Amino acid sequence: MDNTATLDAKIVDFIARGLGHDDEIRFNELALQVFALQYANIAPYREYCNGKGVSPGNIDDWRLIPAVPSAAFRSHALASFPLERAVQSNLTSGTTGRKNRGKVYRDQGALDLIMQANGMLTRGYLFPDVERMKIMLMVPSPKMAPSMGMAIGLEQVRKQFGTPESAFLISPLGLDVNALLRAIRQAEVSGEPLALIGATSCFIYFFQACRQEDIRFRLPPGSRICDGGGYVGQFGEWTKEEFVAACTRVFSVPASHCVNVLGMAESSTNYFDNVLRNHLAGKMAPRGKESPPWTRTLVVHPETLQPLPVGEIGLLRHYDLTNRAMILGVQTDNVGVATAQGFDILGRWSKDKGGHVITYSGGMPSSKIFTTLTDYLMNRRITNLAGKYEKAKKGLQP
Amino acid sequence: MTAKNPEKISDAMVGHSQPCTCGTIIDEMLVNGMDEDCKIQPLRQEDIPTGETGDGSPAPARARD
Repeated sequence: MDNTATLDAKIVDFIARGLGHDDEIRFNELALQVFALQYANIAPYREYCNGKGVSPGNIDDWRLIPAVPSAAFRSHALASFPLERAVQSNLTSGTTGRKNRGKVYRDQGALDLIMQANGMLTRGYLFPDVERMKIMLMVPSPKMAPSMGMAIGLEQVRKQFGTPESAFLISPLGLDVNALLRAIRQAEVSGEPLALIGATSCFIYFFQACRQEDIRFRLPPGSRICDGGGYVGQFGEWTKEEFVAACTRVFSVPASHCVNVLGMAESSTNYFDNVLRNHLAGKMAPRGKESPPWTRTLVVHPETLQPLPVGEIGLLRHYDLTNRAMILGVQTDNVGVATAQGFDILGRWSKDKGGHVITYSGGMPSSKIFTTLTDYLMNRRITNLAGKYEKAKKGLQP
Repeated sequence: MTAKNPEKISDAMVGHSQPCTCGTIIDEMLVNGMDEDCKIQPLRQEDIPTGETGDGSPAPARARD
């Protein structure tokens, strides 16, 4: 077993201990080992660290490990392993157009870590009360979008938590509104809970169409919604509260069952809202993201990049052991705040908009690719939603 | 590990990223398109949105290619 495989095995063991511990000492040990591996194998990162006077030999605290800016994944292929061993590459952010978009690479060991970690989180935060349920996925399948992290991840969710009739709703044919309406109607008639998972902008798109035609549904108790991708788009700027209210108004799904997830290519772990987990456990706590034991999130000042006290708003910096294949610490441009249980994301910070713009929009801010999606969808609005729903109702009489 | 270009990683990069993108969905959808009934309707050249997309690139790159 080589050094990387040995390290992976240690991280696997750490993740396998579950969500209910906070072993700071072991996290620190593993973080320093991951840092040493990445420092040794990723030359531009080593140069970046050397510029800060940091090397594996002169620090003993994970907080001192340099975190690379998200934009570095655009300019560099940051992999701790030879790229010929890559089994997966996901597109990530770019700044000047899709041709300049970056990629993150993963080898098999890293992929196994990520699947283990995110499978545990999905179970803990989205499906803690059921083994499997019908899931309709408002994203393309990985066959259609092989480099899309959300598609790849949700295929695992479908396999691990979905019933056989679970399906992706976006195909090369477009968004299958009829299939969505049939699934909703089937749930209404059967009383079997339904999970709707997808891009936030797709939900907003659908909500807009429902509002125009004053259509509402009554999904059965236990149904849940999971969205990711941001509330700001071509359809207008939605707050997190407005989005949750729309889920309740349109689908009759209570706020406790509306789970936002933050996922990004640069940080392998998915960060879920705690609401459903807490609701089922009878725990009262504010909605927010919980940091699992194999991650840490700091909030730093946007100019000095120094950590801020708990409660102050700044940029989110994630340290993630499942990032073994790339860089442990990632300095994002997401604006957020540390909370007792983890953090919450509030918006996005940019130097490109003529200054330091902070948007407090809630959830992961709009991705430009989804802006393109909404641009496109707006030209092809869902029409005659009521007629389609009536057709679904006739096909599925109680 | 292979560097794509010689630009050094620096703290100056902070504030210059785009949100994480769930990538090829748009390219694929724009290539294949859908009509008002959300059925298959291959996208025609004249249907392609013009002007700048959100990420600053003309849309849609792949469709034009």
